[in-house]
Amino acid sequence: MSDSLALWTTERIQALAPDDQVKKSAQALAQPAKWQATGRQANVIWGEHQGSASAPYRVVVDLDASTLKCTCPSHKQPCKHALGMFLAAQSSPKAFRAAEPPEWVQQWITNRQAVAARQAKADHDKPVDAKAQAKRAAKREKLVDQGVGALALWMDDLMRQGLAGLAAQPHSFWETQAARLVDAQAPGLARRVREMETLLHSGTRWHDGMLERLSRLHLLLEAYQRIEALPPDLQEQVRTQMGWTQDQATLRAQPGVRDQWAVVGAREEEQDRLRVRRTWLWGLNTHRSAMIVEFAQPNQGFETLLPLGVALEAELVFWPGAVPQRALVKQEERRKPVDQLSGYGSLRAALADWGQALARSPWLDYFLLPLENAIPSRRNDTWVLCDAEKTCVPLSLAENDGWRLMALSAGYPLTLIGEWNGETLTPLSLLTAATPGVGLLALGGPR
Amino acid sequence: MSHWETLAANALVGTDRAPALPPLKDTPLDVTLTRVQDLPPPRRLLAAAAIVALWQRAGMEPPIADQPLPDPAPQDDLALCSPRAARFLQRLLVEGLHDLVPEYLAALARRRHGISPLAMPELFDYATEHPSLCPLIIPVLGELGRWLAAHNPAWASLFVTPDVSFLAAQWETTGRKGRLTLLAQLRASDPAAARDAIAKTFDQDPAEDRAAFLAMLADQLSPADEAFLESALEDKSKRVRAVAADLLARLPHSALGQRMIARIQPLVQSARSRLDFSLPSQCDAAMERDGIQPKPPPGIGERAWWLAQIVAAVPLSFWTQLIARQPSDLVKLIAKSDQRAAILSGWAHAAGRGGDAAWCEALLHQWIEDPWISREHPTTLAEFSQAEELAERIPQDRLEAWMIELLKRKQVPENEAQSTLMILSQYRRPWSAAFTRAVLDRMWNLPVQLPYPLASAWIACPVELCGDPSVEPQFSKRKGRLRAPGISGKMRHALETLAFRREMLDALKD
Repeated sequence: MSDSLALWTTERIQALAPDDQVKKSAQALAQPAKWQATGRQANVIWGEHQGSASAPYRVVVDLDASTLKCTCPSHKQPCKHALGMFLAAQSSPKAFRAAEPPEWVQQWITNRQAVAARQAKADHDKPVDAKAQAKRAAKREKLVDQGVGALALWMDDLMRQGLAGLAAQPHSFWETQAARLVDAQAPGLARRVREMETLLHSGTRWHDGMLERLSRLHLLLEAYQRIEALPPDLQEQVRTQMGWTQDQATLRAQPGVRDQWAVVGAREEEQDRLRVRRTWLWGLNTHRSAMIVEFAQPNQGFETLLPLGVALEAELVFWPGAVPQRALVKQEERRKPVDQLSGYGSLRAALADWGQALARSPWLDYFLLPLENAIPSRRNDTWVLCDAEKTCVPLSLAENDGWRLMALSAGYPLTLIGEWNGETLTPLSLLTAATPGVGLLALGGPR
Repeated sequence: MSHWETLAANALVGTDRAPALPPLKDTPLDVTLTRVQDLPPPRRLLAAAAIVALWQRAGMEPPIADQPLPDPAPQDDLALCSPRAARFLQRLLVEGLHDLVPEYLAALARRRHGISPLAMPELFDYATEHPSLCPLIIPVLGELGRWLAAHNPAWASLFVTPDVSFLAAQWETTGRKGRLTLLAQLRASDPAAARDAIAKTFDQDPAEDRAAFLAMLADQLSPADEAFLESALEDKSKRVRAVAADLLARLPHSALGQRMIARIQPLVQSARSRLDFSLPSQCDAAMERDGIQPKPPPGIGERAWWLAQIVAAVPLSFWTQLIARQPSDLVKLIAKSDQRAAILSGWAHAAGRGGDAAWCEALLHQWIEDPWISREHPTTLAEFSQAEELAERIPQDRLEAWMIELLKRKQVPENEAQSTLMILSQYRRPWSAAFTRAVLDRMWNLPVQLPYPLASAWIACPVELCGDPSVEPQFSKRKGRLRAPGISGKMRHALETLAFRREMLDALKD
């Protein structure tokens, strides 16, 4: 593989920081002088830093496997040490000389390989006891049926009595129903119920959002109850929405889609007490979007690193569904920086695609929108994005990021890639002639 | 009401009370809705809501912009700074290192580069709170910066110098704080207009405001201001009179100066090697009108205090005309006199107002060697003299050469060390490499037993901001620990800041 380190610019590394505090602290640690026992072998880089603890913190970065690891107990990942060392290696590669990895690095690599091998073996060697599997599947179907039935009755009651009464309901009203759905092995439904409770605090028009969510949930339940009659990919979509997972090993065995997949941005959220990150990829030739979804415990970090502005020449395998979005990288060949990108020429075309996608999968939450010839501007104290036909959509971004966007465009069109949720566009990255040689530029962080 | 509004209203009260669907026609949407009308009411409402919601979501038609889009920014003649340099400015603003922003902007201006668009919002926000930064931003603003600022009402007035007549017209309707900014802008472009503005409301303004506005005349002070200042000597407020007298004393040929000369002449006996003073016998109304305060502060006698104030207001040229000798000789002549405290503090005060380098140097040397303060009340005359202000008026190479020599001395009496450090802490011009090295060397070798006042004076010394960054590597490489314990933190901070500034200035060379 070509020198992957060269693809990591300071901006790309800083974009991995979970917040500004870590970014600032990492910068302070970005000097090679702060790192001892450093070294590099191929695309594995390591070093030690004497912090406040008695033993030094150890950091290892594996560019091939896209992981960062530090031994410090920090809650925020990637921590300032990991990022600091990465920054130091990027700005002063000579300080990380070629060497044999020390024991602890060897151990770490071996451990990871062992875990991966064990996982693969477990996937392969699983005694495919077809009978037991079928029995479990049937049991689950039965539980879900019961759960769905109970949920439908609960919603009927709710609609009869009216949404106005919801404001007075205690937390247990929602939590009990959600817990029942978890027991019924339908975690996707449980999540929807929990999310609805948070809507009560969303402002004076909360009942609009509540009705919309309830109606979409109703649609899901109806779809599930008629699942046999649906086309296969819609069946998959419904099952995924309900909470059925895919076996990743089986997925990897499927044929995928090859392309230059540009990493265009990421967003993070909290879901069921976990942190979820979705990283968007845009196929430069196929013009398909893909979403890499990762989960992390609150105390741990996301393991993989995908540098924004880099295109992975790779094969992606998609989760089956009516509108395939979620994917994983089956195989990666090489990476190159992105310096041009083509997308939708107009908002009309983009939103037409969005409409089509919704028709195929009514529960679609997000849609990637790379828009060419877009001009940001300010209207009535809000930010909007206009295309060449002067069609405008509202932008969702921090005040100063809006000014930054405007400064980068200087009134001229640029290519903006954003995430559309049906109402607003959240900018992820952009390409502009204003910053030559910089390529794809992130706007704000992954939040 | 739209379908959604009806459904939402019904959902709010519940289908037990409002079971019906909205009335349906033969539009495609309504035809779809008829398919669910036979469901039981709760299911019917949910299904209808699902249909309408999805229809709205998928069919959302974004509006067409009715206003024209902004004109693009004009072509820039300023080249953009490098990405590395841009990153530094962002760091300065985000990490709160605002003290370094002026240096950054000045270096950028020297290269004739423009500020990066990535840093503009934060920089402009900061400039609204610190308008003194605007003159530094303007040379590196470029067409893009001007264009961007014009679009945000909070920034629009930052870099545009408004018309003088417009400013003057604002005077009466602006509050106190706004008036001070207004005066600063007016005085810079049309000094007479600023004076006229102050005069317009002078009689009605409260005393505090009168004093503050009058003080703004220090900028672009000229003989044209004399008449107005003389009239201010009649003011009811002591503070206003003091400000007026101070400003008049700064004008080289003012009537006040002449009056002071007339007062001092009978009190002086001079010869080639003699300069004797007698004390004034009274402080009459005319003297009070000219700003002489009759009541002395503690530590100086009443008549000596009057003498000091008179001397402070006499143009310094009087003395060199009286005795044809250099200021350094005059200072030495006074050194043994009984009135040395009064005279020297008067001279120092005058030199601080606008004396030439020779006077400043002579007085500063004297101050370090043997400060003219009383042991019981050291602050009184020190405040009146303000010796530390003299450093800025001495040519940099002479001052630094002398201070390097002072810093190299091993055994220094504490008060001399304190005076030296006081000057150091106020010396804000960019230091030479040699001077920076001398300061850091001295700091490195400070003794373990360092008295607290000296230690805190060292900690206050601005080496990290004013020092020459090229000196840092040789000190960062030094082994060993600093002996004076409070100082090691200061040294570390100083070296880190110098290293940072070195990197920053290097990035700006790209």
